[in-house]
Amino acid sequence: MSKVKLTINGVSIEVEKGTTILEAAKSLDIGIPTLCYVDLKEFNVKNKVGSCRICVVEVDGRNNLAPSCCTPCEEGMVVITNSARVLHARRTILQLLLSDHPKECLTCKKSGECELQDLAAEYRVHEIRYEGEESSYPADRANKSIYRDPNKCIMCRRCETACNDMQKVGILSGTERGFGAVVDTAAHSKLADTYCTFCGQCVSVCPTGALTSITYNQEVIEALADPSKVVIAQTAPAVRVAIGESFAEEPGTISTGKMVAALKKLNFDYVFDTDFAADLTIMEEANEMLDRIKNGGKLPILTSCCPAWVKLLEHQFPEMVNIPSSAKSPQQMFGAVAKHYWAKKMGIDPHNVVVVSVMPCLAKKYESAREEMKSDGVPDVDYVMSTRELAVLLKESGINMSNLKEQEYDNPLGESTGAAVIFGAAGGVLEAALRTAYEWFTGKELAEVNFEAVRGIDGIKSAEIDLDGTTVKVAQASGLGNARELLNKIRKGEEAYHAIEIMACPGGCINGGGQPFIHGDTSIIKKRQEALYNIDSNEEIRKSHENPMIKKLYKEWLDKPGSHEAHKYLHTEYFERGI
Amino acid sequence: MFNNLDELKTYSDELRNKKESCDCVEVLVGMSSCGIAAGAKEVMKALQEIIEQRGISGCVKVKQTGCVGMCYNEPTMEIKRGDESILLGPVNVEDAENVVDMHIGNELKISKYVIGNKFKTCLD
Amino acid sequence: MIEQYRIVLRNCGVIDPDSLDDYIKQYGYQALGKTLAEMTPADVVAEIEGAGLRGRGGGGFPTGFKWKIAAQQKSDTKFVVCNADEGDPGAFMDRSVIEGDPHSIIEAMAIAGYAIGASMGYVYVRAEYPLAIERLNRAIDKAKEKGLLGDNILGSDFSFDLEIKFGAGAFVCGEETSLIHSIEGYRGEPTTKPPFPAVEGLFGKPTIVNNVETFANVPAIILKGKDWFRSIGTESSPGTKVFALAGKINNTGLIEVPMGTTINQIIFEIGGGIPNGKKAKAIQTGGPSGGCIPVKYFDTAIDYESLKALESMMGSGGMIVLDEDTCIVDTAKFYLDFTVDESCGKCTPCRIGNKRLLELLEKVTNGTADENTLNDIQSLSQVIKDTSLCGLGQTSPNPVLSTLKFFPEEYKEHIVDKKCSAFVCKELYQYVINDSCVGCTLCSKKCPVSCIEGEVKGVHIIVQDDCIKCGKCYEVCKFNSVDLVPGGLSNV
Repeated sequence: MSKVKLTINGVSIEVEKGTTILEAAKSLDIGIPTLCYVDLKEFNVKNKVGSCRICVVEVDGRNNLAPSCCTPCEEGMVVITNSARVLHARRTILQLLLSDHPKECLTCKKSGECELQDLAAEYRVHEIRYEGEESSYPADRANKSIYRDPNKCIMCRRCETACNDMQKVGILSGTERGFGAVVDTAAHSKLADTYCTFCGQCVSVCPTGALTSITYNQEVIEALADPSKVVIAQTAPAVRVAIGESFAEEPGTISTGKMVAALKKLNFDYVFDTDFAADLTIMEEANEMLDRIKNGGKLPILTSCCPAWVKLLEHQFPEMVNIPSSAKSPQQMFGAVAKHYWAKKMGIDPHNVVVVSVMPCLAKKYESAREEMKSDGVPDVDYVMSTRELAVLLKESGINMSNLKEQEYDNPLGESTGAAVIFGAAGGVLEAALRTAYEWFTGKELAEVNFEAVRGIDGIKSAEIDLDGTTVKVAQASGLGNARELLNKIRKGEEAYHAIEIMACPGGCINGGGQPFIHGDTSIIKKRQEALYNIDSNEEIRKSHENPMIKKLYKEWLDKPGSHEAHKYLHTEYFERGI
Repeated sequence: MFNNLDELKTYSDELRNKKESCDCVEVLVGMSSCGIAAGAKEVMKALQEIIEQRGISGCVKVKQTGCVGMCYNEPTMEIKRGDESILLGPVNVEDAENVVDMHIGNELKISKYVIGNKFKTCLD
Repeated sequence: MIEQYRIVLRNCGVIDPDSLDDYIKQYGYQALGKTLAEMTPADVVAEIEGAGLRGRGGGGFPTGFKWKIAAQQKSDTKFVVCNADEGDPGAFMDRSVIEGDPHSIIEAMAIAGYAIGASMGYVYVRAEYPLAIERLNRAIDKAKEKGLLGDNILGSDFSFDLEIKFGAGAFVCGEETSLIHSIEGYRGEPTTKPPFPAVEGLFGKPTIVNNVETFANVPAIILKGKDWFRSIGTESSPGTKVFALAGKINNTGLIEVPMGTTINQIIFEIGGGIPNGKKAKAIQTGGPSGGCIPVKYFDTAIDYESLKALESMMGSGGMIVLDEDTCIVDTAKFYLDFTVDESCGKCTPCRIGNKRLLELLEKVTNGTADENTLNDIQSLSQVIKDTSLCGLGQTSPNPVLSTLKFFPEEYKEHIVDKKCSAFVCKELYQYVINDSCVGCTLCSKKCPVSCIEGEVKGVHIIVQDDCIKCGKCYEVCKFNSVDLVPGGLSNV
C-alpha cells in the first residue's frame, strides 16, 4: 500500500492511500462531527453516502467544501477542519436539518440518545435561522416491534444500509424526490405488510427518533402493580453482558447477579432465566437433529431460536419452511413451561401468570404475538422488553443497578448450564447442540467441549465434526445477508450440511436490535461475546442434558425429548408467507 | 454488409453521384417531434395521397427528415429540384397540392412561406 | 451578419433519419472506418484532445481528457455512455439530434469505444422522447445489419454493441453518477466524486459519459481533423454550440453558431429580435444552474469562460430571452422552484436548503420580506454551493445569486417598496377602477369571482379582498377605466 502525505490543521500526517480525511483526522485526535456516517468495521459494513454534509472540511484549492467521510486523502492536501467557513456551514446544515424536524425533543423516545440532539447541543444551535414548511408523514406502529416516524428521518440512509447492504432484506430505501424525499418502504406500506423481519438492525443504527422500538413498559408496570397477578421475568443470555453499558459499566461487564437483583427491586415475583429454556431447546433440537440424521429425515436441520430469521425463511425461502427444527425458541419454551408446568406445581392459575421477557431483540416482541405461540389458549409470553427498555424502566424506578448486591435466579427455572449462555453469541446454539448430540450419538463423554470453529462474528463459518467415525457437517451464519447467501447455496445444491445455525443479527443476539446502542463501535460486540464465553467456561456444568432441573422436568412432566407432551408445549410450525 | 472502409466509401460515392433519371421534385417534410406536434404528419399524409391519386410517385418523391431548428415555422417542408432548393413553412395540408404541382412546372403559389435557404454545414 | 454553421446539426433536416443510405451518403461511418483502419486508440484520444472539444452538456470538461483517463485504466470491461437525459427547461437539441441524425451518435459512440477500449455502450434516453427512442432503435438495427455495429465492425477486430436505457424523467439523472446508478437499476441519485466514472463508473468499471451534442461533434472531428475544429470558435472553446432560443424572441428554435458569437448577434441577427417592440432585459443561460445576463453585457462573445465570468454558465445551451415585462425575482424563483422539485433529496443542503431558499424568495415576491432577507439569501446560497453533494445542488443558487448581483434594485423594490414594476408578483399589485368608468357593467359581468360592484351608469368598484387578480376586467374594459397599480399587499 502506498502512502500519501497531507496536513490537517497545520499538522503533517502520512496515511495509507485510500484513507479518508475523517479517518486521518481521527488519528490526529481532531474531532469532526458525523451524522450519516457509520462504520461497522467488524461486519464490513459502512454507510458513507456523504448525505448529511455535517462533516465538511476545507481543502486547499477546492472550490467547495469536501465531505471528510468520503473524500480520500491525496498527496499534498492541505485540510482545515475548523475554519469559520466550515463552522458556519456545519451550523447552517444543522439549522436546516432542525428546520424540518419535529421540535418535540423533550417528549421524543430517543431523547438523550439522539445524535442530532447531541450535535445541536454541541454546536449551540439556539435559533433556527431558516424556518419554513415542515414535512408531515404518517407514523407506523402497526406491528409489535418497530415504531417508524418518518417525520424524524434525516435521510442519513443508515437504516437503508443496515437493511439492504448488511441484512439484504431490502425493506427500506430512499423514496420520492426533493423536499419530500424520505426513507420509506415500497409503496409506503406499513412494515407489517412487508417482508420486514423485525430484526431491528435499522433501529440500532438510526441516529434520531425515526426508528425506535415499540415498548410495553407501561403494561409491565401495571402488571407488577396488580396484586392478582404473579409476574415473572425471564432474561435472555445476551442481556447480562450488555445491560451494564446502560449504567456506565465497561462493555463486556457481566451483570447477571446485579440484573437479577434489579428485577427483584422492580417487584417481579420470580426472576428466572431464559437459559433454562435454552438447555431445554437443546434437548429437543439435538434429539430432532439426531433423529433426522439417523432416520433419513430432511437435512439440513436449521435452528429456529431466532424469530427474525424464521420470518425471513417463511417469506423468501418458502420451499424450506419444513426444514427448521420444530422446537420453539427458548423464550417461548420458557413461557410454556412456566405457565403449564411451574404454575401448576405452584398451584397458580396460568391465566394469572404474567411472563415478561427481557430480550436483546425486537423480533422477540413480534414472535411472542404469533398466533401459534400459545399453549392451551394461553400465550406463552405476555410482554417483551428489550435490554434498553429494561434499563429505562430501572432508571425511572430509581434503581441504580451498578450499586446493587448480586442475587441468584429463582429456581427451578433459573438453573442453567454453560451451553445455554452461549446462545447469545453467533455459533453458540450450534456448539451447545453439538455438545449434547455428541454424547447422545456416541454414548461417550465429550472431552473437549469447546467447538472453536463455529465461534466468532465472521458471517459464515462451517466445520466438520467427527461423531466417533460419523462426520457431521455444520455451518453457522449470522446476519441475514449471510444467511441468504448460505441458503442460496443450499437451494442451488452447491453446499450440503447436516445442521445449520442462523442468527439474524451479525454476531448473534449480543448485537440484537434491542441492545444498548454501540454508536458504530463494533469492538463492543466482541467484548460482549468474550464475556459470554467466559461465563460458559466458568460454569461447572457445560452440557444442556446435564442440567439437573431439566432432567427433573422430563421426569416429572415431559417424559423424553420429542414426546407427545413435548410436542404439544415445546414445538411449533412454520408457514409460507406471501407479502 | 460492409467488410471494410473502402467498400463503404465506394458505396457512399455511388450514392452521391447517382443522378435522377428525370427532373424529379423531392419534398422533405420535417418530421421531428416539433414538426409532428405542429401537424407535419397530416401534411405528409396529404402529399402521399395526392401523389398516389395522380400516379406520379416516380416524379415527386416525398421523404421525412429531422428538424431544421425553426420551431416558429413548423411544420417545415423543403422542396428540391436538381441543385435548387427552397424551404417553406409553416405549411399546411392545403399547401400539399400546390407543392405537388411544381413537378409540372407550375409556379409555387405559396411564396409568402418561403423562409430562405438552408444552412452552411461542415459537410458543404 | 452572422450566419449559422452546422457541425452537430449537419444532417438534421437534410437526411431521412430512418435511412442508413442517407447517412452514408453524407460520409456517414467513414470516421469510424478511418479510426479502425488508420488510427490507434491513442491516436483517436489525441485527436479529440487536440481538437479541444469540451463537454456540451454543461460543465465544459475536456472530452479528450476524460477519454484519456478511461483509456489509461486497466480493465477488461469498460463502458461508453451517451447522456440523452436532456432536462434543462427549454433545451431540446439532444432530442433533435437523435430524432434527426441517430447514426451520428451510434458512430461517435463506437469511435469512443474504440478509443477507450470499451465494447459496450448505453444510450440513456428519457422515456419522454419516444420518437427519439424509436428512431435510434431502428438505426441501431440497421447499423448492425450492415456490419457497422456489433462484432468485427467493418472487418476489423473491434466489436461494439449498443443498448438503450430509459430514464424516468428525473432531472438529476443528467448528473453522470446519478445516471450511472439509474442504469444499474438503483435510485437515481449522485455519489461523491472521486471516484470519477472514468476510473470507476458503470458496474464499477471505467466509463465515459458524454452528452449527445458532444458525441455529435466526434465524427466530424475525426473526418476533418483537429486543426479544422480548432479553427472554429474561440481559443478556449473551439467548435460550435447549439442553442435553444426561447422566451421573448421572434425566431424560437435551435441554432448552431461558432463559439465566440455574441449574445447580440444571436438574439438580433439570428433570433430576429424581441416581439411586440419590447426591449430586451436579460437572457437566461445554463438552465437551473445558470444565471441571467443583463442587456448591458449582450456584446459578450459566448464561450464557457465568458459566461462563467457573468455568473452564468453554458449549460446545455438553453437561452431564454427576457423582455422588459419580466420580473427578475420571479424568474429566479421559477428556476429555483424547478431545482427544488428535481433535487433527488439525498443531501441536506439541496433537499432542505433549496426549499428554504425558495421560501425566502417567496417572501420577497409576496411582500413579507424584511431587511434581513437578502442577507439570509446570500448566506444560505453560499452554504448550499459550498456543501451540496453534486453539481445540481452546487449550482442551484446561481439563478438567485446572478439576479441579485445584476438586478439588486429590483429585489430592493420588492422588499422595501413592496412593488413589482413588471406587475408579475400578484401580491404586489392591484386592479382599481378609475373615475372614467361609465358603468357599462361589462367588467362586473365578466369577473369570475363577482367582486366588482356598482350601479349601471355609475363608477364601479373592485372589492380588493375578493379579487384574484386574473386581469379579466382590465382586459375587457373598453374605456381604459381599469388601472394596474402597485400596492395591494394588505389585500392578500
